[in-house]
Amino acid sequence: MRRVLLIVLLAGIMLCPLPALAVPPDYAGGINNEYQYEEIVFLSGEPIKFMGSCDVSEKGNGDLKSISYKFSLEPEDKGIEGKLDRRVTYETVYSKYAEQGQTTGQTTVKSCRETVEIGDDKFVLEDYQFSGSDVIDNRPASDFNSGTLVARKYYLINKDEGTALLDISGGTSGYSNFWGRTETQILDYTLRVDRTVVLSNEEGDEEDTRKVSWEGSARVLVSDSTRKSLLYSANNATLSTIPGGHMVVTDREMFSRYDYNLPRMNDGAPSGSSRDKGQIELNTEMLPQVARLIIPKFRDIGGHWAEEDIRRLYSLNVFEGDSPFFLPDTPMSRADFIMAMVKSCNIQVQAEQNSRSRFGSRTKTQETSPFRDVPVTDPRYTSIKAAVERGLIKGSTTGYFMPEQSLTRAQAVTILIRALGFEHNAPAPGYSTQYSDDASIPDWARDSIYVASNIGLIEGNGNRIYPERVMTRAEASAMLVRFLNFLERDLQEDYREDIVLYQ
Amino acid sequence: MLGITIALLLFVNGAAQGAMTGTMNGTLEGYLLYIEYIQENDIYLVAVEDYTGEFYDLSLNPGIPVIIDTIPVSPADLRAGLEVYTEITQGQITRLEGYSTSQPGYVSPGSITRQGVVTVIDGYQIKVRLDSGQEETYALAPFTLATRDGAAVPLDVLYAGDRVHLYFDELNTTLVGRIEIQGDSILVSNIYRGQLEAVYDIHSDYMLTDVQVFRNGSWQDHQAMMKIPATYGLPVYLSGHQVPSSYLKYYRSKTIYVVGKNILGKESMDRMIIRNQYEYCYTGKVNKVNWYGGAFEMDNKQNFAFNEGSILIRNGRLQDQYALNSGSDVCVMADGVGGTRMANIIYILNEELNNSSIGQRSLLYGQIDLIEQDGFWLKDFYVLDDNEWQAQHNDRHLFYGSDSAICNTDEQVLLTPGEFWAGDYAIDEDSDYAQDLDLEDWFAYIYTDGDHVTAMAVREEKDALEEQRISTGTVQRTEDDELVGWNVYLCDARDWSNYKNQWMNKSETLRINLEEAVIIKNGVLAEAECLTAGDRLYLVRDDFRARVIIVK
Repeated sequence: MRRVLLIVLLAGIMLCPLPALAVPPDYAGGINNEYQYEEIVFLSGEPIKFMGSCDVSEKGNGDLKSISYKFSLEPEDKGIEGKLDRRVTYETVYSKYAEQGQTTGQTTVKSCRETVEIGDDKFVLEDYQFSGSDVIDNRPASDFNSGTLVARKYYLINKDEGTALLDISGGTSGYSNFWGRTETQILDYTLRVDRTVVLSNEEGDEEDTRKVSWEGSARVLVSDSTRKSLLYSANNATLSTIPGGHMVVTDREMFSRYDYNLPRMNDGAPSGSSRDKGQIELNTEMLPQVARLIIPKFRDIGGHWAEEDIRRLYSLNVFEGDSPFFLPDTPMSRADFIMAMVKSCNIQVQAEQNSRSRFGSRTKTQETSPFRDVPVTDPRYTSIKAAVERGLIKGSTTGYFMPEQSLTRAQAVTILIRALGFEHNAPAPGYSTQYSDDASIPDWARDSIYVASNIGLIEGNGNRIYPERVMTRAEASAMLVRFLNFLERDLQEDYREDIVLYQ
Repeated sequence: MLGITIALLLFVNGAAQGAMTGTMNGTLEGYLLYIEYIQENDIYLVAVEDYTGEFYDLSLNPGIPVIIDTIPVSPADLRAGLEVYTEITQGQITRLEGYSTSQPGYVSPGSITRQGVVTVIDGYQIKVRLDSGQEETYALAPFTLATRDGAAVPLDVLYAGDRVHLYFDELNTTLVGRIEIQGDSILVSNIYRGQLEAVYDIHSDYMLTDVQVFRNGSWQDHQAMMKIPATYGLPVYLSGHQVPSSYLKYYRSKTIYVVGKNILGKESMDRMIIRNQYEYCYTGKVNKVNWYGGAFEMDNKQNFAFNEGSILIRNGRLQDQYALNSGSDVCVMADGVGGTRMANIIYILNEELNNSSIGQRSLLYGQIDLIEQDGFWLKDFYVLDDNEWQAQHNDRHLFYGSDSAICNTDEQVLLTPGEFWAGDYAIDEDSDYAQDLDLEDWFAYIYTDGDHVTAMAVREEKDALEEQRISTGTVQRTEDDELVGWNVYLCDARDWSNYKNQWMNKSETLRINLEEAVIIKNGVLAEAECLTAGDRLYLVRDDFRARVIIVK
């Protein structure tokens, strides 16, 4: 019990949770840090950067959540008189599909109020229609989400001088796991303004009113990304028991890019047929959060090729124990690897362990293990049970898990790919992998090996993959660190850089 | 057991009656007719019809391997009608395989992807250094869809040094179905020199002091102090050796060179070199490259070593070492003492009309002879070859269509193909009509894709080509001047010297007028206002006035 509590404590202290929000605020392409929010407004026909405050509050849990934004902004250019006030609340109803491990969300706007003043013009939001829907695939190591939205804002200009109609459509892509979360939105705006303008003569006197109509468009790409990374920090003192150690640094960064196409404006009216096309980029970061980790003191990993990987995993408490020897070149057991995977993915098992201990057997029916060779009293039972429940490992037809058996490369890769839920990304059955020892890949591992190779999680050795080769503890550590890098870095690149830099 | 079998037979459809298989051994292929789990016996009852029409009643133990198309499944996943192969011992199935997939090995189009940097373009074959470090060869086809910044572009916009995302439509193919080319974020925005003041590990930020920027062929003061973030996995080198990022704090006050790129709305450090000794800067032509020795010789017999840490920039992009060739015009920033010099930065100045060997673009100048409905003849024409106008002593037949941009630059109007055909741009100069009206054939600058006219500028008067210059440079800014119209300011400009056969750096920013110019961007005609800061231009100019501008 003490040991379990210690694990919980360590996990809580060392690995600070990610911020609750990792989605760009609202659907205006704006970004914010701790102090300031900024977005580009096109209602006047010219791109104007507004800056100010943004308050965000979230309510609800489970199947119903609402999020409210309150913006109070002014133009960055002090030569422009203006003000933007917006209050909007979105409500999302979630439906869970347990069999498929998926969740869908339907988002609607619950309330909205918006006023934009630019120069002498005042745009008042008369109506806001919004429909958004997301699907979230809940996988053991990470959740992946994809969404679509359409919206329409209808503004009155100076009460009776005209209207502005802003159509928004687009989609979102994102992921969320213990090591990071990113959401990238691509939104297409089309703006149509029909209004009267007062024309001035050369002396500047008001001369005539004229009806003008114009259309503009903008493509907005906005990304909010949070990532945890492991950094090493050396100790400047030499007479110390701490030679240096790792820390988890949590960064959050937002980026936005507006590609706009507007008429060239002159006194509030389009001037000729030429267009004003351009691009504006915004970027902001929040202060990183740091958390130092414990320091491994193994005697037998110095100079080993996997030393750095082993130190990292031990610092993260993925490997535990107080032995001074890690034994890097001995085989990794199936049970040890599963326990390490469960911790790497931050799959919650401690809570269950606690509740089992607290309530005892009087309030629960006698628990039976899915495996004959892993009794419920085994200290590894909860991790193995969690792995079965999350689909990392499957119940054996023979009823045995064989926890002490050595782990093979094929088994390890299969577990990693199941954790990501990527096994369905393989081709239709009946294909061969690129490896020359494809024939020795077990049928149950072919999809995982194909996918892992395709996403760069594993590499062959001289065009062979050696699926049945036993993995040493060092090799398994290297594979786990690569897996953590995938969760931390590769997913971020795919959901942010690869969308932003190529679109 | 007999009772269960009887019960099963009652369920089997129609008159099907299974053969008693209690002692059956061997294999059986056919259709699965029926499967049911009998809980009290913990066994599945299975009925199979073989291909000859015989029926068999078998039992299947839950522990027996069952697979469909090589994927292990549970017996509960089996359905009547499935074609199966079974191995049987004493009437019990010991292995069951089902076949369901109609297209084995099918992948949805575009679902296989690779990412990396193009290292070599050889016609429609490209070599890509993948993120895993491997170099692979892939094939492009004329139908391969290319996009850049999300918009479709012709394949010839691709450069060596571009980062690409390749999409394949089939398994085990090297033919690229779609290629996404990274946008302007691939371009080197600036090269800085400064003293390393501080290293902020947690942010991956670096503070530099006395910062200078390499502009117009020399170091120019930029900022007294500058903070710049690093990209992930920033490679840092000192005298050809990689320096771990954790050691950088020990190099405070050392002079460093930094390559900046604009990524995600901010300028970030993409490469860093720590200067070890003294700086030497040379501009000239590479005479010889010794790949084995890792050295090259300039035309003035100066020798420089280079290594994997040397930064090589061409066409605004970071390149691998093999982009360096004998004959390259380069600006070298080297590090060393005495005659031993290590090239830290090698800036290749060469610029060509075509980005790579995929392109078949050419720039012609000549007199229009005979205009047909969809084509015309050009006589006494010149072709821009190796940055020089070369006279061709023959005629050339070119084709135009509705997607050809034809501009009368004398009157600043765009012509439709019909107007061009019907106009007096080519005329029988000996005819009475021509002589009465004093008409002559017009002259044209023509930008072609093979024999097809992409864009052309027609002018009544002949230009003196020998007075023209071929220049390149990077757009600093544009302006719409009230008196002379649109101008562009180019930094890092250079002119081609016919005499020296070499690109010559200009030390000042170049101001060029665009009013009579044909501007080509992404392979199509563009307006002056489409030029943006950072665009790299290749231009034909008559002193202040540009004639043809190609955005590279």
